[in-house]
Formats: sequence, structure tokens, C-alpha cells
Amino acid sequence: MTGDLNTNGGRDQWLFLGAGLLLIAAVMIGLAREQNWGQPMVPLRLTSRNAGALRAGQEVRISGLPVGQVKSLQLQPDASVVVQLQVAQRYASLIGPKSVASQNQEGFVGDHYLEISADPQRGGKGTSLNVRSIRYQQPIAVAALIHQLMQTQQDLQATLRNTHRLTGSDVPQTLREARRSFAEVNSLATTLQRESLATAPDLRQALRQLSRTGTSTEQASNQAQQLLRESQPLLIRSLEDLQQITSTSRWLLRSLLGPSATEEAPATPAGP
Amino acid sequence: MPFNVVTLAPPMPFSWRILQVLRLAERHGQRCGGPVLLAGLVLGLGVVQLSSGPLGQTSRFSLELLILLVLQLVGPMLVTLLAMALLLPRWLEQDRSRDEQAWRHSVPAAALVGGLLLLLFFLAALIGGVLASPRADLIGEFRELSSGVLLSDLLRSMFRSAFFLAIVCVWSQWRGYITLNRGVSPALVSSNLLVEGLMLLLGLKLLWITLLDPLRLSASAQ
Repeated sequence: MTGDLNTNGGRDQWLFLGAGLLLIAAVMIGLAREQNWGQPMVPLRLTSRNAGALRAGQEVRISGLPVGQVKSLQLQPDASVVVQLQVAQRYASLIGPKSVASQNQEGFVGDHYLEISADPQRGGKGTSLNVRSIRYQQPIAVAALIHQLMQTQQDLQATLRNTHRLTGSDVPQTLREARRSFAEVNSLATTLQRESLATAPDLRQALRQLSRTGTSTEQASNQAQQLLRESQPLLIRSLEDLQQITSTSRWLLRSLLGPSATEEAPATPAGP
Repeated sequence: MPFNVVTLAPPMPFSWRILQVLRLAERHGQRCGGPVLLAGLVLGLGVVQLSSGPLGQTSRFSLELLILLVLQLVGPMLVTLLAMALLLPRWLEQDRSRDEQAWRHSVPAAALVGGLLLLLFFLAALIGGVLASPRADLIGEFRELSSGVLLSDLLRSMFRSAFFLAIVCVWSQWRGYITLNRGVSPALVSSNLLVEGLMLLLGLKLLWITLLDPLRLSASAQ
């Protein structure tokens, strides 16, 4: 012990302790400067359904410049989170009833911070001190968004698969069938053309004959009608004569059969 | 019959005792300062290079991870381990001088040295980490980092380091005093005490993080 203490020969060099004290002072000054120790602050609070990326010590910014920090987060009995903020008093007049706090981030991979939209108050004093609670805009739920994106991607992939299957198998098959149908139609048309070329003269001749036959038939029909009209009175008269002959024949027959039948006088035939 | 004359030394004044503690702390601190600074620098460089390189993390996240590691996990233990390895011969030397009151100076000095060494280690690790980060604005990054370091975390780690080194000092001096009085060689005592000190340190760490101050596994040291 004594040897350890007296190795310095009575001359003290306070290098380590001096440097340590200087470092402590430097650290304290640095922390005080960066964390705004001693600066009058205004407490604010906001309520969020989800703490998310919020954490104690996070920067609070207005118009992109740091004006305070998040002090604490407390889980409430209704599962909401109360976030206590501190904003420098000289910037408190920039926060008004229309101010809204929201999560923000520097770039895509930078730090998260709490952005408060500015609502400058007239006079710049006093009014902001009454603002104890500000509204909070919930950040977009990235997980839900990614889930929806994944769902959309799956649907899109299914659609692409169906389209690929359609274009890969169904469309060629349809095209093949259509091509085959066209070939058959073409063959049919060729056959029809060939047959029509072969049968057209005969058909045309048959049609002419048919037309002539029709004309002849029409003439015969007209002649028959005319003949019928001309022979109709003679025919009626013949029929009346025939009826009279029939009546006379019946009377004769009855007369011949017996006296009982004679009681029935023969019907006098009507005049012609 | 001769009298055994016992001469009682006058009690040391409190200011003189404080001065002795400060002198001892200065001497021990000078011995440990260089290795601790170097260890902090290497740790900071390594962690940030590993995190921002192969692991692909941002420089800010890497530095916050470094702060978390230094203040919450490895800082106090590594500093105490280094200081124990460097100071154990001096503690044993005090034991060999058969000074039963040596612990009155060495334990407070160890506590003082432990706290200051952790501060040195922390700053060296931060400087190493900032130097290793890919960001060009080193001063700006250092300032942003310092805005996120809580003084309570730093003080808690300094206190933990001081407590660990003081306990290890007490253990080493007590065990060294006993074993040296038995005639065991100082080399063997030193080797045994290194192992015992390491076990004691790990046990203290385990007790601390399970009972007194559980690790806060937040992503940031803030």
C-alpha cells in the first residue's frame, strides 16, 4: 500500500482523475446542450390507439425542425396509449387547436420522429399554453397494407396464371378448332361450288321446264274452270232429270209390288 | 519483565484519507485507462462495422445498438474484467505488505476508477462507432446520438461498473490476504483469483440483471 502510494515520489500527477473530471464535465455539457436542459418546456399530451414507432426520447418537430421530444408513454386501462411530450416554450405558440401530430420519418430508412403541424397563434404567447392535448393521426398500418398488397399480388398472380393457361392452351386449341372449321367450311364451299357448277344447267333447265309446266297447268286449270262453268247448267239439269227418273222408277216399283203401295201416289215430278 | 510497548498510530485525518484514495485511484486509473480506451474503440468499430456492413442496418441503428450494448450489456462487465486483470497484481502487492487496512483505500479507489473507466470506455466506443459508420457527417451524427443518451442510463452503468469493481477488489484482497498468509505462491494466487474474480463478476452480473435492474430490451438506448 505504502509502496503503491509513494511511487510518485511526492509529486502528484492527476492525469486520470483530471481527464475523467473533464470528460464528465464535457459529457454533461454536451447532453445539456443537445437535450435542452434548463430550457423552459411546455408539456403536451396525445392519445394513440397504438404506440407503434413512438418511443421515449423521440424528437418532436414542427416544420421539420426539432422543437422538443417525447417524454413518456403510458398504457391506459382502455388499451390506449397516452404520450407525454415536451415542446420548447418559445415554439409553443406554433401549436394551436388545429395542430395534428403524426409519425414521420427521414427518408425511407431514416429516424422516426413526431411531426406536429403548425397552427400559429396570434400574439405568440399564452394561447398555446392552454393547449394540453393535441390530436394524433394514426400512421398507416404497414403490416395491414403489406397484407393487402400480398393478397392483391396473389390475386394478380392467379389472374396471370389463368391468362397464361388461357393463352397457352385454350387459345391455341380454339384457333386450331377455328382453323379446322374454316377448312371444313372451305371444303364445303368448294364442294358446293363444284356441285352447283355441275347441276346448275340441269337445274336451270328443270326450272324452265317446271316453269313451262306450271304455265301449262295454269292454262289447263283455266280451261277446266271455264269448262266447268259452261257445263254447270247442263249438269244441274241432268241431275234434275235423273232425280225425276229416280222418282218415277220408285213409283213404278211400288205399283208393281202391291196395292198397299199404290195408296202412295207417285210424286208428280216438278217441271223441268 | 519487559513491557511490550504498543504504539498506536494516530488516526488519519479524513482529508488525508481522501487524498490517499484519490492518489491510488489516479495510479490505478492510469494503468487501466489505455487498455480500456483501446477496448472501447475496438468494440465500437467492430459492432458498427458488423451491423452496418453484413447485417445491413442503418448507421443510426448501429450506433444505438452500440450504446445499448455498452450501457446495458457488456460495458460494466468488460471494464471490470479488464481492470481486475490489470489491477490484481497491485491488490496482491498490498496484501503481501500485510496491511490489513489496505481495503479502506483500495475499495473506494476501485469504485472511483470503475466509474470513470466506464465513461472512458463509453466515449471511446462511441468515437469508434461514429468513425466506422458510413455516414459522412460525423459531428452531426455524434450530436444526434448524444441527444438520445439518457443521463440516468449512463450514471446507472457507471455505478454498476464501480460496484462490480469494488466488490471484485474486496473479494480479491480478502482471498489474496488469506492465501498469501498460507504461503501459496503469488503466481498461483493471482491465477486463482483471476478465475474467482471472473466467476464472481458473472454472478454479480446475473444477479444485477435478474434482480436489481433487468435488461430493457428496447431497440434504442433512448
